[in-house]
Amino acid sequence: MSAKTMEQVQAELRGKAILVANRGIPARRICRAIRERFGAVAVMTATDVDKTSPAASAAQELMLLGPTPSAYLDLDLIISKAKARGIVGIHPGWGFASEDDSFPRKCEESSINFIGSTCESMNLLGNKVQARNLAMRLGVPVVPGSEGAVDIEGARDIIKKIGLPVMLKAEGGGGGRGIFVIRTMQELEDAFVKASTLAEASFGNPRLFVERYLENVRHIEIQVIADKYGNVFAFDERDCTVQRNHQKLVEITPSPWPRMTVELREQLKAYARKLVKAVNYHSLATVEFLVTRDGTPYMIEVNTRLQVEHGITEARYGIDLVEAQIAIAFGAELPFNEENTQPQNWAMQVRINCEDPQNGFTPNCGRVDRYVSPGGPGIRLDSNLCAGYDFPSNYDSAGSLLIAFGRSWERILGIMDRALEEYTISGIKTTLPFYRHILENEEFRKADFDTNFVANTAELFNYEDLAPEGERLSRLVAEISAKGYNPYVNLGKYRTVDTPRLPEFNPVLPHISGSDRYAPSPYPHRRTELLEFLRDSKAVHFTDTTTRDMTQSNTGNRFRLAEDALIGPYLDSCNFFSMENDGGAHFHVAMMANMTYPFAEAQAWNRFAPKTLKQLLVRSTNVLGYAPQPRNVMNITGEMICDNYQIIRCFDFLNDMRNMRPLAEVALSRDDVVFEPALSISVAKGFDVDHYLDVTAATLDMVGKIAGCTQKDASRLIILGLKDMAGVCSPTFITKLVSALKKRWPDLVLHFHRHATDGLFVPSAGAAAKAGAQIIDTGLGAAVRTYGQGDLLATVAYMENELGLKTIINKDMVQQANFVLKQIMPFYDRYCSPYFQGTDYSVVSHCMPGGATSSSQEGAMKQGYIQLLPYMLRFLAAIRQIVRYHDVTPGSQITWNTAFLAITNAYKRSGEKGVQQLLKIAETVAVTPEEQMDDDLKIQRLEIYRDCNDAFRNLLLGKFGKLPLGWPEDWVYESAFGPDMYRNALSSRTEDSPLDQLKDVDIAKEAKACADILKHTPTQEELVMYLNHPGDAVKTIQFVKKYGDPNRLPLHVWFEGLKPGQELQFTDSSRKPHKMTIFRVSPVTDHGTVNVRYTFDSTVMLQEVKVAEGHAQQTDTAMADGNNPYHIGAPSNGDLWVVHVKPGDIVKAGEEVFNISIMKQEKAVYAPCDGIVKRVLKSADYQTTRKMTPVREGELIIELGPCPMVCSNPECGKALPSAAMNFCPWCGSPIEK
Amino acid sequence: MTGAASSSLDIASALHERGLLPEWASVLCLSQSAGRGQMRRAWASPEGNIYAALRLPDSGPFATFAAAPAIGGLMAEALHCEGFPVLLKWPNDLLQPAEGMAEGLLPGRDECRKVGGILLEERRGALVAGIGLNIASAPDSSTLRDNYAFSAGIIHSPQKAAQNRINCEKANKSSASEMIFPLWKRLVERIFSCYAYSSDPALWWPALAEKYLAFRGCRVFLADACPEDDTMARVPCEGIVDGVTPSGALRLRSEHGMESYLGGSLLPRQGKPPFSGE
Repeated sequence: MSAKTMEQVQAELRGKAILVANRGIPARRICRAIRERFGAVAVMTATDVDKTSPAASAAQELMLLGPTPSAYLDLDLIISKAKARGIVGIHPGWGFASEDDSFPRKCEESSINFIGSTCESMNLLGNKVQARNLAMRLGVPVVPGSEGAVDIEGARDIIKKIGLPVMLKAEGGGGGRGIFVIRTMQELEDAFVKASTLAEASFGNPRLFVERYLENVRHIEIQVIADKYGNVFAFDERDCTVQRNHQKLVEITPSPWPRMTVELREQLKAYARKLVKAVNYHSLATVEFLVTRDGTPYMIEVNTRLQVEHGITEARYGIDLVEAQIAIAFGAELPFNEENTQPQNWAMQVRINCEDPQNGFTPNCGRVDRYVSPGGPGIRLDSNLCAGYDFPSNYDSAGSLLIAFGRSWERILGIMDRALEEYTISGIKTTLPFYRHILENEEFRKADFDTNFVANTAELFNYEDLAPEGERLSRLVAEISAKGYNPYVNLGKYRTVDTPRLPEFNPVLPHISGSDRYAPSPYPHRRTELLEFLRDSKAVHFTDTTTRDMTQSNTGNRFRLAEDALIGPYLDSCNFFSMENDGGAHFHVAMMANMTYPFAEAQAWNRFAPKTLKQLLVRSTNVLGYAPQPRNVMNITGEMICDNYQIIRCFDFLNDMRNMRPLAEVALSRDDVVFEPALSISVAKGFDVDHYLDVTAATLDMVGKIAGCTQKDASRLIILGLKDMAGVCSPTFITKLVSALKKRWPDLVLHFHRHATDGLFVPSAGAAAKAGAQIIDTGLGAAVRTYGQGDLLATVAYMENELGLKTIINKDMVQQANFVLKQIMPFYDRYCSPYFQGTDYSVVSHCMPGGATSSSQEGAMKQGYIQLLPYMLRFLAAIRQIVRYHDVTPGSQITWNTAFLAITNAYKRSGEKGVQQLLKIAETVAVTPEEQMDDDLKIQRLEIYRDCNDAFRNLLLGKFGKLPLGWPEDWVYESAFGPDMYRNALSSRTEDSPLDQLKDVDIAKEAKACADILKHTPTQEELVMYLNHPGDAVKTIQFVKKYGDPNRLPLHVWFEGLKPGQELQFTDSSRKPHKMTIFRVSPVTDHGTVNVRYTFDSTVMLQEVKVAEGHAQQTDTAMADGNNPYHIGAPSNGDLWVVHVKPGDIVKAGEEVFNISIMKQEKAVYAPCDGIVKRVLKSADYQTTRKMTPVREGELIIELGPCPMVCSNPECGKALPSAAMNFCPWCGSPIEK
Repeated sequence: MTGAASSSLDIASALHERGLLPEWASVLCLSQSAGRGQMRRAWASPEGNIYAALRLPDSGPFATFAAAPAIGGLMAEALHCEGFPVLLKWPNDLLQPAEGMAEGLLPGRDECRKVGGILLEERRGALVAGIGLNIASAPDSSTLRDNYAFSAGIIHSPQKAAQNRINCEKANKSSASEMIFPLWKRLVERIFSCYAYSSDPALWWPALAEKYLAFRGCRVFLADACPEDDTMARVPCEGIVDGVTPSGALRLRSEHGMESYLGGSLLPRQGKPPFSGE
């Protein structure tokens, strides 16, 4: 036969059918060559599951193989169908039957051209033992080892000859399977049996051979191609060293390894050519070598087929190996020679597999939700993926092959890096993020690695596999839209999908002139200069509380960072002394409802409003929480606070200044922050001007002690806050107090804070300023409601026009800020605070502070006690004259709960009449001096605190700190603790600071616990969040991981979601714009779910959202409550076949109560605790009835009750109906108690 | 290894409670006084057969419903390596054609013998497979429960060597332990290596189970079948055995197309040829 030219082969094949007996990536790759170079008809085999695969689109015809997934191996079926179709050639691809040496023989028998080599030469090179013998004969170095398969004795002899370590390899193996490493002689026998069993199971051939085990090697291979006329061409090496379990992950050509010399390359190519020539092999082959660190090569095997990584050789040379392979199979002469085939590029391939590297590379299958492929210069992509493709479980997990090529190693690193960033595959886990991580690895970039690189580099697996943020946020929008309300804001189901919406939030933002924006703040930022400035200034200064206390009080803190960022720049240019933008409940609610990291929020503020000082409110020992924090938590939180805020206001509801000390120590140690201890101020008997002067003196003493100075000097180091948290101080009172403070400490800077609840905000603020308070808290008029601060511009007007005071406020800028805020407020008014608006002068009697008024009153309403609310407030007014402290967190909660419990329980016991009676007692006791009290009243007053809770009792015991006016009278204890216990209570009172009681927490241990929950090491901010509010911190961190930053979504979408057809445009955290429109929300299914179909950017997405409880479950099946230890549920779906207990039985923890069978697997279920069986919801006794009962996972099967007392007679042991019995009703024996 | 015992599963359970039963540890009893099958059915356990309990790991298929066919496939593989060509009746009974019948697909109920059974029990977090293999004797049909599916039979080998080995071991009845123990040890070793060195944890076992699946391509009846997509339903159904899904379900080709079932008792349907569904 004479050699044909390429043109002849092309002419011969035009219009003829060539079959690719394969699927997926190789089938698509080969079909492309068949079509584009030969004009032949590309036919691809396809089983049922592959008929519609993306790869199938490359074929002009499919040869259907039926439903059996393994049909690709059925050569007889394939060949008979090929014959019927008139196929002229079959390409086996890689994998499947490509290395079955009977394939060429069977093709030949059917007169079909096999696109590969012959049966004989495939066998000679493809069989490892044969190839090795051949290599030794030709002088090609091989790894020392046995000649052919050996038994255990043979293996032992070889090891004696070549030394340890060695490998046992399966004769029929490949791809790294069936390899065992032996390091000591003792391991041999055991490993041999295992390896042989596995070899038999895997390859149907138990025979093993032995080889020297080489360490620190690189895997280098040479691609060879030969024609039928003895012409052979070897290409430059491919470096496939990055492997996992001998499976190649990354392939590179040429090798970037510095020790890969020209000489070594030529030597390897010469060996490869020699081997192929020796057996008259034609077609493609790859000769694989291991190369040790010193550059010594050992031939390991020859692959007699097209390989997965052939593409990088094509990219290096600009050639098509498949085309050449087909042409050679049809008799063409080898088209490559040293002149016409010169390397030009570097190339790297990564194998994108549908596997989860973080879970041992387990394959996964399922629907590809989103698919965005990379492209551009230097990229080649061979894939079997597209959006919407249901990746099948039947075959290997190869999703695509991504190749980057360019003129240098650095260039392809850059191209690959970029392409991996561009590439999006959502819905299933892939190795994409893993490769991004490999590309970042320094050793990889330096090409300094060996075949154990992946196994030995644990940090490669340390990454977060997250979909792009825009896509994650679109899922959140789908969820809110389907529900009609946002479950994360924690306001219940405040609307439905059908509730009329507010107009879309598209705020108009007036331009801020450059002169305003860039004018520096008039306030110095160093403490000494700042305080000097305030003392010397003749003006009144203002703190803006709009984004914290004002909206905390009015709208429960739901004001988001997103809206802060809108008004922040305006506020920043108003010439405020400070902006209070965090602290109090805001820190907690940021996590609980706004899904925002509070310190990240602070940093954002410092970026969009950089000029003005930021202020934060701290609750003394509780810092930013609701219970006292240990000293070390206070310190670590305090440091983080001082890094982000400049004015640290701190209050204690008992005015016990010792409680502030740890925080004062942190704040006073820095000259970039000002410590502002605040007096909690109420108006009541004993809380008069002299009292507050004493408290101030104690405060200054504490500061002096820390700073090592006198009380007078201490008064120059701080700002003193005057915190009237309810809005109860009259202008007269505050004038007196400020004047007295000024007189005693003329240098002390005073900062007045009050609420607007009583309606007297402006005159009181004016009075404080007139009397000498330098700084006043106010807010923007657009946010003035009932409970927060009063209006800034009204206050300024009153001060300037009526009182003749001076301010430096930029009023035009305030108007602009107000205009922006007006557009924001409707959403918060409607969804966060629909109740209890309007001023309420009665606050001066009941004194519930700021936001606590609305939240507690709402609480009463939601629990169905609105009719009792007037009584609760009257009761409050009375009891705050009996035990006196300041009604601010946590005091306000304690007072409120005491009143709520007293009134509701009195109502439950004796109705309205009982409530009236209790009120009468409380109100009489409040105003009657002890000596005028008759005996009846002394007994009746014990009713007042009988229903109080532990928080109030702890307060009485001194556990929150020293009460400001000393211990209450003894009868209060008798009422709260009861006649038996109150003497103990009296004697266990303490005046120690609660800080002394609290042990430091083990922060390392907490960090570990946090990491275990989060599955990553928490950042310092995450740790501080966790130490303060563990539950909500975890919720927010997990939310952000799942959905991204919710502040990227506009206000209306956050509260209402989208309606179908409505378009949403938003930008993600990297400022990338996205577009989303919901097409349709399906009707609710029986399981309570809906499907939301929407477009995100240009992809159609589908999201299932649970919007209701499933009907089926609601009506038929009670589910076990996972938090109730007495509920025993089914551990999985299955058949309940035996229940061992019946109602009334006593069970011990760990006793088997029922058993479930699923797939012939029996699962025993045990009682989680001791108890009595209350209900058996489903039962079965298979052995008697031959019937089993189907059960659902989580379904409640048995409900236990608390273990009652049991008869002490061991013979009986039955439960006693009442603990008061003296004799067992079952057996009559006496009960031992 | 124990001599007579109540049941190997009981011993395994007791060992586990004392923390003495690591994964892949096994208990072998020479005879059992209270051997049990599914739903506490009695398993006749005279001396000479294998009555073993094998603790399985809590990962891969063993963490899922697929545990039964997975261990069934492994057991079949191990027995094949020892020269006993058993087939796996989904999910995990071991069948052989009656002696003298042809190898390969099992033709029908009368020609099949159940030579072994596997019961999985999950107790206190440990999944233990109770494995019974009829080496020396099999219970007579009269002692089996009513409406039993298959007659019991003794495991046998077409390979002379393997058969001889077992015959020879049987002949030497004086020390049942000497015969049973090495065989069990080899089986466990083979099961373990086959499991431990399978590189592809998600896919190896369905392939293995399908390799030995009995009645593949045959028409069968599945009583009380539990459809995978409606786990509360129990329906009778009929179809042609197609294979096993990665979730462990049996894939049947029926008039309604391809369906998969998580539970049910499987019986070959006799007398009718496989219908042509294609």
